[in-house]
Amino acid sequence: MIESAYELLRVSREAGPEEVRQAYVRLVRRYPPEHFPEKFASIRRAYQQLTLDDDFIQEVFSSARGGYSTPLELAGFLWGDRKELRPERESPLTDLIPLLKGEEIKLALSQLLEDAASQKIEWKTS
Amino acid sequence: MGKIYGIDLGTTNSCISVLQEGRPHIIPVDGNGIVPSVVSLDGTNLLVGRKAWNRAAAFPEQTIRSVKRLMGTMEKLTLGGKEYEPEDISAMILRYLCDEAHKIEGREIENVVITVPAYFSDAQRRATMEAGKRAGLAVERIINEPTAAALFYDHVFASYGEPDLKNSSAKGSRPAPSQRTGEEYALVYDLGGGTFDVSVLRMGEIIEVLASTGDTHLGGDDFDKRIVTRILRQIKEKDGLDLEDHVPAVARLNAVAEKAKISLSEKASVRIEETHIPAPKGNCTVSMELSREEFESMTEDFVDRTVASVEKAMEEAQLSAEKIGKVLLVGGMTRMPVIAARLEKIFGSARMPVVDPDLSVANGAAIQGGIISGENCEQILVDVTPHTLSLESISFDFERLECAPIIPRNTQIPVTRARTFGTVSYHQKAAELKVYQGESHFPEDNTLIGETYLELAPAEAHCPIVVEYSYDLNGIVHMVAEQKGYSRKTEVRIDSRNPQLFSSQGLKEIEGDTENEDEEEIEVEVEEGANAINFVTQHARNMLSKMPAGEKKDVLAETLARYERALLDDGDDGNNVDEIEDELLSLMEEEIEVADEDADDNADEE
Repeated sequence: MIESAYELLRVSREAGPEEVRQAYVRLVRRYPPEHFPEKFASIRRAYQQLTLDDDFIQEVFSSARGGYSTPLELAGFLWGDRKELRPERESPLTDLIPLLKGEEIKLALSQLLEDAASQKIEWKTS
Repeated sequence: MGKIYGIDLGTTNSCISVLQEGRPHIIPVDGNGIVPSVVSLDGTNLLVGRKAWNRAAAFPEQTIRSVKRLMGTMEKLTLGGKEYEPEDISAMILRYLCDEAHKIEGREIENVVITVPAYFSDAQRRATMEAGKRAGLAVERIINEPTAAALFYDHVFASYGEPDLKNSSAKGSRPAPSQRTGEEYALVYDLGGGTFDVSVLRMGEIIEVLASTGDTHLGGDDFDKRIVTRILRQIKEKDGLDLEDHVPAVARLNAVAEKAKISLSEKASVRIEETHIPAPKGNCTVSMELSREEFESMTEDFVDRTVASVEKAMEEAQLSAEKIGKVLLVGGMTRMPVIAARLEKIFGSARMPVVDPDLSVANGAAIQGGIISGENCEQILVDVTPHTLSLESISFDFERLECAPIIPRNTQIPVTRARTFGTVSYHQKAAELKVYQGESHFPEDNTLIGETYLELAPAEAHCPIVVEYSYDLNGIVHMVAEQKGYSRKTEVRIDSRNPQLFSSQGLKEIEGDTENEDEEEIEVEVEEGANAINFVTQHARNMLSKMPAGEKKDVLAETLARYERALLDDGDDGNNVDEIEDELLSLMEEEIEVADEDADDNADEE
């Protein structure tokens, strides 16, 4: 199962930026990169998603343009769990993203990823 | 793993340090531990350090200094009629440090962490690794100098409180724990003998590097040279002698200039008086006055260059000047008053704590050594990639080859990133995958660190190929390329520190070589597991030793014992180990929180 960013950081969905930061720092202290490189990478990923880090957005963009077509697959890729996921051809994300602007992109993207990760929505391709 | 020593391999001076009971100690090689990075040949005797430095002015032709400036180049150095590579000379300095430290410590030195300027290129880092290897050392990690300085500063701050340059009254007071739990941004300004670095960090319970930049060819040597040029001009005007190419004279003047520069950090003016400057016909003399003001205007462009780098680093970290809470000055050159003054202008309210500009880098390297060996569990460092990793691809207009970044520089590591590319033609047979390191868009300006081919199944043009890079803490790049929708896949490990290794191993096709692939993966997994276990048990033991006797201590001790037992008969029930590990980590976490609260209470009472 893919853990959502909130689950990974062990914070509630209402958590504010400070709470997210604290949770992140606490988890990095627990799983330092020196000794838990893989765990650290997924914690960092989740943190970047919840803080809508530019680096994260950038990457989602470049991956949405290409092979990662469904939010589920994208989420899988982001958490480093991509092996179980099947690629699909059409990409609703690619259509969606150019229509939105600035913060909207970030919010929509994070919502999309969240829903996909928690498997709330099933993404159908045409 | 035994002790890991920290080595600052500097342009002008080098230094070695090691953790003793959790604190870094400089090993007093050559008296005070500051060892000139100089190698000299006395007859058949090879001298290194202070003794070599003493001969530098008198025998410049038999002496090599500032070899760090040549690291990563193909340039050869001659000493006593023999040719050496820069790595050989650096290896001699490393060997000397370790031999002398061995005499003092009585312990053989095998494992080391060596520091390099943050902005050192890949080739320069590799050359540094190679020097370590030639000195017979196991180089556990190459770390950035400003990061090392920040680690040391953080250690000092945590143990003794913050000595402040501006408010010296606050010197040495122990920080209230609540003050420690807050986070702040710090800028490390490191101007050494030959290199300049600037890093922006976020410091608190963990230390995160946000951005690093700099100039690998700017340092104290350049400041000295300006003084030398001034003196040479005076000699030319006075005696009509052009000594610019007269090696003994320049060597002599270098020493004179360095001395004058150092005095100018203390005094407003200095008298340069030299009666024995070797010239082709007899000696000549020089006598001149140099004021601090004059010196500052002579070297203003250098300081301007450092300020430009500072601004670049701030931009990369996406911070404005007022966000910076602390400015750490590292490197002997930061003793020049104009530097603190310029930084104060930019960072007005930021504090400038006193850190030892000469020793903090080596001490930080020793702390990093402790982090790797598991001896130091208190500090957590999150570092970044120094250079962009990209893949060679064809530009959209098919006009030229360009580098498509996959892992941008300043990305926190370890990290895995993927990017999708498309094939160019129908039924394309293969894709050439060339991995580059560097900041340019053009492959020819970057360093090729590895290449492989992906054989393709027949498909339409624009068939997606996903290329994934993983970059680990040791700078090893693992590349996986996959033709989407087909099971064509290729995988290759590139040691970015050691490209020769890569080219001999070459590519590895998954399909034909499955067994080997599995083996490799298992090997990596075991390694990570072993490190983690080492860390967990070590941390738990440390904690136990500090806890007062009581029920909690017993519970923790019991859980630790159970954990260690579970590890021993590992294999039958993997889940069990994980469960106990989680239990143990939770207990430890609680304990840390309780300790923090206690400390807070105590601070309130005071």
